[in-house]
Amino acid sequence: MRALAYLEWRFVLHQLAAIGRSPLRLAIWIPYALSLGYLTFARLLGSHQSMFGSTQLDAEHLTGMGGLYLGALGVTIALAAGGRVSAFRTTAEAVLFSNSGIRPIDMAVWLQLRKLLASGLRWAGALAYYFLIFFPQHASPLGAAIAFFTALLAVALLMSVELPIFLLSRGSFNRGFRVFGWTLAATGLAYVAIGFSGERVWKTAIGFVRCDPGGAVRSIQRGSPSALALFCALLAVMLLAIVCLAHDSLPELYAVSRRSLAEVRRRQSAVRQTRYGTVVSTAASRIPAGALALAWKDWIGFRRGRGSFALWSGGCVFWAACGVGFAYASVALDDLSPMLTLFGASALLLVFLAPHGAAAGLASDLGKPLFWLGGDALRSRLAAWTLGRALRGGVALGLAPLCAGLVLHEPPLALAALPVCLAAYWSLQALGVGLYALFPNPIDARGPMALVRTLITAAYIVPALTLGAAAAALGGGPAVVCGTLCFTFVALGFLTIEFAAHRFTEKGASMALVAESA
Amino acid sequence: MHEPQLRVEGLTKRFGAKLGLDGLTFSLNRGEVLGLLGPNGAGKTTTFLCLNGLLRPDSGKIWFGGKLLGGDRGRIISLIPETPDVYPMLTVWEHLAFVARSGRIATGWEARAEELLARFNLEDQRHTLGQALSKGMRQKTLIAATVLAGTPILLFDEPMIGLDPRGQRELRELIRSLSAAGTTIVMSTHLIESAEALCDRLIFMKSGIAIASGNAAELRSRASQADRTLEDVFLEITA
Repeated sequence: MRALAYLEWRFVLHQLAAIGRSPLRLAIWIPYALSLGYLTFARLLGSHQSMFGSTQLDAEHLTGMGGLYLGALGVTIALAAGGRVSAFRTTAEAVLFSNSGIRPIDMAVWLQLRKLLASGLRWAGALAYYFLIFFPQHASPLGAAIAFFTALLAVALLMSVELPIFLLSRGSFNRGFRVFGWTLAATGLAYVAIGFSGERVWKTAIGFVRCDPGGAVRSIQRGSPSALALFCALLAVMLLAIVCLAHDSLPELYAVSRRSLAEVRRRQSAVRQTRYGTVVSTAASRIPAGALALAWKDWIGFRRGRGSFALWSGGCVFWAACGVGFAYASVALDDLSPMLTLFGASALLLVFLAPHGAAAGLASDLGKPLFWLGGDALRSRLAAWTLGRALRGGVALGLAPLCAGLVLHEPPLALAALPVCLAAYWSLQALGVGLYALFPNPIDARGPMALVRTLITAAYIVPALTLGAAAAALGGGPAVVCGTLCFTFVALGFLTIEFAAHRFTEKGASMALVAESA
Repeated sequence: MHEPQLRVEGLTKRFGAKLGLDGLTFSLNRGEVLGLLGPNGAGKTTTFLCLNGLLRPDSGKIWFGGKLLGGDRGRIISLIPETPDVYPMLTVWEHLAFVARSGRIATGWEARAEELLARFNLEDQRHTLGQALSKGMRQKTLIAATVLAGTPILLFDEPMIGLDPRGQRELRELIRSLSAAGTTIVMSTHLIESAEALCDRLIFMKSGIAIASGNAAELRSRASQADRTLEDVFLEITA
């Protein structure tokens, strides 16, 4: 155990030394620290209420949050039972630990403690945000501290439950754990749906099932000592499970870690494996010339990737259903909030995830020498590359306004849907390229980086939306509004690509290396 | 005055406090093969990345036929890296077609592509996806695709790694035929016998510095004792 502690200590020291060598990297923390500081200051002065409205979440939202936690816990348990565990940081670390002769039980306990600590630290900032915004104004400092630490333990439990579950689920219990996990996930999802479907639905549903995970969330929020004790006990049980079960676990831990790391790498490179080794090659005459060959390359990868089409079809159905549902709800229902919540949350998720996906895909492509062999200018290749990715997503997204327009008998809305959504989605892909050019670590979504990415994304979207709103306010018809939106999105996209091409020139290899090491 | 095809002058690259490349200078005529030899960390890959435009040198200039090259020099100087990273969802043939189409190579490239497939014994793998290829096959695919692009200068970073003996022999023959056809080649390798057999000139590098250069005979003449092999000379000079 001392050897492992030494290794970790050296790791931390080297990280600190790396920061010391280039302290500029700390700049990323400035907006994060400023925003946390501002929120803390606002809460201390007591003006928080006026800035953020009610600090009390509605009961139904607490149910939704509880459901979200149960769902995440269920998915984690099911995946861990299925062997999706990331115990080691790298395959090399697994080999190093194995060669070091450390007892498997020590290694497993160490991995669990490290995961607990890392996830706790990683989520502390996000939870601080949550508490500063939503924590009841009248709570005592002790209550606040208990609540904060209980929430931290809850998150740590969620993040570190996979290793004990994996060890527990070996052998005959495996199927049972997987069924339990998915059942828990489905239950959580149902509670999320109940929580975000409005007060009336919530009252009826909770009255029927007589069990509300929102109550547990409320207990944590109030700083209940029993909630704190419960989570401490759960974490201790998890650790005990490892102590009892990890003595013969090294080969399995190594195998699942390798598999999980390969899966993570595959996901980061945004490539879906196909089960076929051999296919009929496309005739060269069907491959577009110049930069557009990159768009073709993306398309062929999509066609051949396992589950890619099913996933895209699912997205199309989802967005079409959103459009139809929203249209019907706007005509038939008084309360549009459930539909607005679903639609808004999905759109927001898309706005922040689409650039992330583009950045990960580009990181993988920049590392390939053939990417750099194209005859066209880098900016053209980047534009074509983003176009290839944007076509599918843009069409899926465009189905929402298209279907809404058709149901509402609003031809302008239906007609304008696809161009605007395509332009917006392409622009988001371009933003992903720009973000990657700025921060060449496509997978870093930790607190400070996530905040900076969010701020940049928001700043990117706002001009287009403002201009579109201004065009509408000035009496421009649907064509003018759509034209304004399309133009602004496309112009922003091209500007971002120009910036990225400038950054990538003579830096492509270093960026690909950073991405690979990340 | 005769202008060399590739002229590199004072190429320098720092990684923080560490000097990755220190004032590398050399020139190459059309069709010449230059070998970069050096221990691990000598700066061979850094040289390639700087030449290809994937890494920005801190100072130094690169001329092609008397013309100063800028950031987009990858279209003139192509790199075949040590790690053969191909597109997993493209077949071997599609890699060649992709390069030909994206580089807007004039019609008639198909015959050249077929020839390359045959040379590397890739004909049976024509419709195999990149993800299903072995490391050696990926290496061959990458080399074939890059050669097809027809750039006048090729950089091979440790090209023999991952190739079976037959593949190594085919690659040596390819390098000779490319050189005979006028392609200028810079390669790095740890296989000193291969370098001696293939390269017109050699540069021994250590810690980012070119410590010796010349053809094999000239370098051997630097040895402290007679009848020393090039490997002995290399070990003596880079010690």
